[in-house]
Amino acid sequence: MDIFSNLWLGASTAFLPMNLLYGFVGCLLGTAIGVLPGLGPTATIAMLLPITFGLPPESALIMLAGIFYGAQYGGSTTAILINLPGESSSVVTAIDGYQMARNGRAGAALATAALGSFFAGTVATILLAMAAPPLAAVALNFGPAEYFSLMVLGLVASVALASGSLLKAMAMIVFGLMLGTVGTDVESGTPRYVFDIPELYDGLNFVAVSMGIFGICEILRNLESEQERSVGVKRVTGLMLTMSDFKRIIAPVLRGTALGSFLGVLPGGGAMLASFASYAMEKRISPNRAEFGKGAIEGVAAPESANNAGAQTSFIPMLTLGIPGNPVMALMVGAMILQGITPGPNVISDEPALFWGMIVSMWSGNLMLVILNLPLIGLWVRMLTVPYHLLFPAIIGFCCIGAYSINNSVFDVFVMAGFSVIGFALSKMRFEPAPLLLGFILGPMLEENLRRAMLISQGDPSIFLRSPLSLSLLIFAVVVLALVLSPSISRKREEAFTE
Amino acid sequence: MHFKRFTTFAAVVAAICATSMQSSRADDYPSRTVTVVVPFAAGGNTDTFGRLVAEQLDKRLGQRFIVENKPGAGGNVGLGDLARSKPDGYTIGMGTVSSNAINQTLYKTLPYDKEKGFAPISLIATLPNVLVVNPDKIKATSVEELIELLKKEPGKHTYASSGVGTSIHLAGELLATKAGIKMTHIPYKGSSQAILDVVAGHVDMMFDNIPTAAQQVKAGKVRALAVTSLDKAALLPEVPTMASIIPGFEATSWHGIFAPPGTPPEIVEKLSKEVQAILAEPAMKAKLEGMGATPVGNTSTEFKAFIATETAKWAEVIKAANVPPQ
Amino acid sequence: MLKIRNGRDFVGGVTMIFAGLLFIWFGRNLEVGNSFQMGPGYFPTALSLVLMAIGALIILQSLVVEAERVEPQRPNWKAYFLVILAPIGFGVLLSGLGLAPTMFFLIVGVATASRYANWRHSILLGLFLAVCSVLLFTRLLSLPISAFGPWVPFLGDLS
Repeated sequence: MDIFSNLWLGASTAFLPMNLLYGFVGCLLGTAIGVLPGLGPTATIAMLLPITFGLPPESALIMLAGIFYGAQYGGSTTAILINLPGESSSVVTAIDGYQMARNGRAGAALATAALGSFFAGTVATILLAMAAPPLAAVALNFGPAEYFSLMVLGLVASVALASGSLLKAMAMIVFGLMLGTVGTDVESGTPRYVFDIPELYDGLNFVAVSMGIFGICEILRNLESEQERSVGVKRVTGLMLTMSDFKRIIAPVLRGTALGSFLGVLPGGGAMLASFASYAMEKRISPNRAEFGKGAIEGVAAPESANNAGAQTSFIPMLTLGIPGNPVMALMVGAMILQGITPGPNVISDEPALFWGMIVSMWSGNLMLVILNLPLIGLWVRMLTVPYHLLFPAIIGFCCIGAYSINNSVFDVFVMAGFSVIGFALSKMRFEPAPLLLGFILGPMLEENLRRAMLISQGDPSIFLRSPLSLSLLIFAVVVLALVLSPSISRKREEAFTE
Repeated sequence: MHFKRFTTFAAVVAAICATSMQSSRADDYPSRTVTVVVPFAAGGNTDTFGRLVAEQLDKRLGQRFIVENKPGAGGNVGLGDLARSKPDGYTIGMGTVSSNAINQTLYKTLPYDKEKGFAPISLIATLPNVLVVNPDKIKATSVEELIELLKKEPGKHTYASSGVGTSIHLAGELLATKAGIKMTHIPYKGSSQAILDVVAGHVDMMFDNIPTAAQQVKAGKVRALAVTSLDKAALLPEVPTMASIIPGFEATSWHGIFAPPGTPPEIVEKLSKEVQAILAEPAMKAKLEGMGATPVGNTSTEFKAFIATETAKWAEVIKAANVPPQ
Repeated sequence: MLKIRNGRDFVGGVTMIFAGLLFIWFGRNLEVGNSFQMGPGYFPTALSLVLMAIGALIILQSLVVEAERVEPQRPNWKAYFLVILAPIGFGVLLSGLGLAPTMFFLIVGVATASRYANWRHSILLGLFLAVCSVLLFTRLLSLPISAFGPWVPFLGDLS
């Protein structure tokens, strides 16, 4: 079989002791730096890029990929431990992961994230090896109209993220969408809400907003209710998963992997969309749905596997078409060009050792990550027992440096401070931050694709219905909307009756 | 006590000033680390050129040249920083056709003095764009056929770009004005998303930077009609130049290195000589050519004149195309 | 008779309406266009209107549905002030003082927000994190911040 000889070729590259070493070093560095608040995969890779300049191309790319998975995993760790998603795709992990940590189950949450990610990574790698070109063709089918419909579906699904009032969740989504309009309008080039500040021309930075609204805001809340020395965390019970935990996560991991593998292929936010679509889905169909928002293990398992599967398949457009789908992939392309390889559709045939080596190294990288991280869980959990009056200044300090490192500018530190105030005020009024962040991420994509589709169709809105793909996504969105609204409507009626 | 502290402080300040004045002298420059501001994100073309040159300057001058990425507002954020830094040669920066010749017209306000500008050190390289079309959407196999088609169906066809006012967008506008045709502009955030939609056929055509576009051309995903440099591109030797069809058509993206305004001319001169020498090295040349770029390397005066012509040229295109100021 | 039954939601709804108005006001110069040819102002204006409508619904709800009684948290103004001020101070001081002193002052300052803080611990933690962050960020990751900025005598100019 062709595939086996290819994989063999890949293995003979990836399993060279030198490349294994670089892969390991990449995972280690990625985890170590990604775990610092604010330093997600993009910032981490950008910082570590120069290290790889002296390496041969295969080793350099294997190491960069290792940094990517490591940083991604590190971001989930901070999301779970201190409610600080370092990256868009770990926003939803923070919802239930942090609650689990507060219930003394940080160990189980981290183990779930590690094992779920590993499983998803393995499946996605196999998929990548077997079906990269056809999957890339799927990505090509998504034009502006299809993206718009997908984003609508995403928005509708994100309403389900709310654990409290539906109306308030909707307000937060809309507010997030509005925040997303800050910056230069892509279609006309007109600056919006920038107040002549050059730093605002590219919009508010996600990491700075997220650190303010989640991380710093959480510190404010904790200091307010500072009763014990180590804040709010119940006694830590059991580092590992119990049998019943295992049973509970199997199905969510499988569903998350499937969703993530598919959506990850789509350039621009596919992996992120996957992580919360899978959360929203579990929240609907899980038998334990009442626990969601209060520390449901499914709420960690599903998005974590979805986001890792998506992270793997997001390599597909880059590897098969030579077109980077997200900022991390753009960095990888930059690294490849520096190494003298211009990625393009012919990389598979021109550089088979590199291509298949990378694919095999993805799997070995994921394996290393599990081996590296399972023993570390104990260490992370112990971090929570550090007295809070010592922990929180350190978190604030690292958040500041993290915000600075985004663009090497203090502006993002101010943005973070500003959004900690906004986030805190909103939390006082019982508005939840997760829908706001999702609106903020989806907003620009929604608007851009809507207007781009209308430009292409020359102002004819039927473009959204003519494409079968777009039409089915929209129909699906309507169905989801009906599902989301129906229980709350009937609840409202009951309330009205009792009154 | 207070007075004593103050005198120590004053002495220190004086000492610092003295040392920094000393270090501005060209013969012992550089005596400490030099920062190279790249006003774009890590991993892009400008970043790559900057890093390649910084690495060599490091080797030749025996001091560390550290690249610092300060992206934002089409390069304006980083250049604003560069303009504000001390003009002593210890902070220099990269600039491109967008940030140093187009933004001058495109932006209503710039975070630095437009008149003073920068002290140009040397042009590093030019990178031609190539006009590619989706072969299923556009049957034309030459620029002449394309123009004929666009004249027959004005406004019906679309071209993608990496954003309003980018060199890729303005290349399209330049074609539209020079050939007297009308097409619909579809801007994207960055060129990778744009070329993806051209490959997929959602948009009909675009001008794209050569290294990535050449790969798509070679794989047969898009058809190349012309390159925008005056000479044929090494990566696509069979593709004619735009100038051979529309005389005078040139729309290359270029990348150079600058110092803040007011930097001592001796230091600018010294750096310029070094950069020219670096770009003449065969290994460096080969590396840049492999990326589809044409290494240049010129004197400060030549570079300054080049920027002036480019600024005037793009100002005209922006005016003719009615691109709204930002 | 109308009575505010849920004060928190009432304020929340009013805030949303206010936010919508703010966006409309600051975006008043943006061209709105129409649904077929949307201008840069179309999306933000439409969203602002939707947000204001939701805000109105939230207010309406707050008049109908009783709030559940929750023990109000006593505000800790000192903590708010310090935690929010800390990043701002960091941003202001960083370029002048450099990373090490800024980090030290940040940690020592913000630590006093906790009621368990004591000076000895805070200073030790400040020193420890200042050293760690310099080693990690300026030495290992070569982030472009110097350990000591130009405002620090003697150490500042050595970069």
